[in-house]
Amino acid sequence: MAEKVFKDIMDTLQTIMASAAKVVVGQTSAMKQIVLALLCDSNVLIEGYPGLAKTLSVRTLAQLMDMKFSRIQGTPDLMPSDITGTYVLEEKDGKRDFKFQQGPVFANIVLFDEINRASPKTQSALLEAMQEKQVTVGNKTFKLDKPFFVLATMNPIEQEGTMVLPEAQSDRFLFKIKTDYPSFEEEIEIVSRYTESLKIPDLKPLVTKENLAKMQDIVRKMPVANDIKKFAVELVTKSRTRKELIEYGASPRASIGMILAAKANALFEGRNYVTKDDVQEMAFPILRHRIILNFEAERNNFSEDDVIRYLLK
Amino acid sequence: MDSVRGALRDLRRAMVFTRFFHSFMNCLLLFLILTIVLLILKLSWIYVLIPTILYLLVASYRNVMNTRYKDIEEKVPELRWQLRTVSDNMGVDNEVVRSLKENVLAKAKEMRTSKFVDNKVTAYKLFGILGLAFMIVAFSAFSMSFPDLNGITPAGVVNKITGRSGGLGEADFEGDYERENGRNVYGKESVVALGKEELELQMNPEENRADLTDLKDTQDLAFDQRSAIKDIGAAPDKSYEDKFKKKESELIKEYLKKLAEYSNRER
Repeated sequence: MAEKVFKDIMDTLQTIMASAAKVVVGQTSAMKQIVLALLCDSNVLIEGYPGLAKTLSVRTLAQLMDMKFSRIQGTPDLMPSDITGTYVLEEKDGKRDFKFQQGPVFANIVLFDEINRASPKTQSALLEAMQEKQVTVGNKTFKLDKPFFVLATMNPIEQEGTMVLPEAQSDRFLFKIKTDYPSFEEEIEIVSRYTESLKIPDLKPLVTKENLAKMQDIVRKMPVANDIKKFAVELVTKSRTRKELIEYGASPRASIGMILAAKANALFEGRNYVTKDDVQEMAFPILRHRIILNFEAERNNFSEDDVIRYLLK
Repeated sequence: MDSVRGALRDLRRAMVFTRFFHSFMNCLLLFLILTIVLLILKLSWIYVLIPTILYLLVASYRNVMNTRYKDIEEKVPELRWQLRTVSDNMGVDNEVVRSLKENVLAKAKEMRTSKFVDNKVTAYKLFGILGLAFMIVAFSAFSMSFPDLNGITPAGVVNKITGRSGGLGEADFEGDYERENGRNVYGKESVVALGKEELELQMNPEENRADLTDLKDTQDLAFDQRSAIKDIGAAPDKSYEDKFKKKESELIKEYLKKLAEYSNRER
């Protein structure tokens, strides 16, 4: 029984990756991490230079899910009500009444493009939605439909007119995924694919809400050895105690995310147990936006990934 | 759950058995090496049994006591995290944990003793045993001689160990003579003066035969009077003394006298 469930999940995940590869060339690691975040029922922050298929990756994945998708473009003048929705005056049968008009946050998959261009006030409007899967407008709270994911993108350059993501908000993203430039062969393939035909591959939804909920349930049920838990917690604790390179370390939310992501990674690899390698692999996307490097690290031109590598040693 | 525990116990048993097998081979190697050493020392091979049995006992005890599941993990890395996860989630029951337990059970059953045996090491040990055994047989069969340790060790050390005197090789006459201040077992100084020169002595068996036809004249030998015993006499035993009274003695004498006369007359 369990074997069949595992096989079905494996088949589904492999089909998702293969279908996404029809549209997005390369970026396999980023795509895998986005899928893992969906399995963990968590949010993802994607950082990369312009033109690296961040938005395309999210949109492609949304197409593969049989779920409601919405997109928010981050701009400095974007208001919280533009995201959450607002009350509008509605006239019906000669009577005027306020009716709540749902914003784009009322979807299953929300793509927040260039989140760092939105004002902190607007960014914060997402906090409740991301963590508690609900939205409060006025004096009324609305439950969001399950599943709910925020997949936000940002680019590390063009810092003018951008707002730094508050720590409290960045902590709510399970992963910070870095997209890198494609290899030479991949870029040749990209050029060929997008210059020779206007036709974009037609993707059909592969995963329903129920399927995804089942997969998320399996991830939660995945057993973990105590040594793995200790290893993950030690790693996060080290980020708080190794003051030689880190000014502020990761919160216990990182420990939770580490184990959850390791479980999802094990399932993605077709295993029914978690290994230390899973934790080590997940340490980078989980910790890189949760640690703040000190001056010593910056002076030595260390990146967050360099410091995480140092913690893993 | 018990089946998982049982499978783990089986794995541990297989590991203990394999380790015992290696200890036995080590023990055999030790036995053969010590036998060769004792052959060189001309000691009885029976002394080898003491360290060999001691080693076997200690090694067996250590194997049984020190075999842990951690060792199984090291030998079978693919089971490492599965075993730990199963053992840490014994009380958890869901479809994923059940599937993991089934996998562990299946893998444990597939696991055989050969998985724990290092073929390379085993082959080296077997060749070692064969080589040493061959050496011992060759030494015995061809009566191969070993260097005499009396020549290379301090005097008497080997003899003290072996409980024998002397060696088969050349003795250090001069050295011994100097050490013993001229009073050693090799006798007179004149003999010592021979040094290391070789003396050829040959026994002629022909000269030892007795020839009955070869008669020679008798020779007069003078008897040495000094050695003769001068006072030779006989004394009655005390048991005869005072056994008869004088009167009775006379009567007996008379009886014997008449008996003698009668006897003469009859003749």
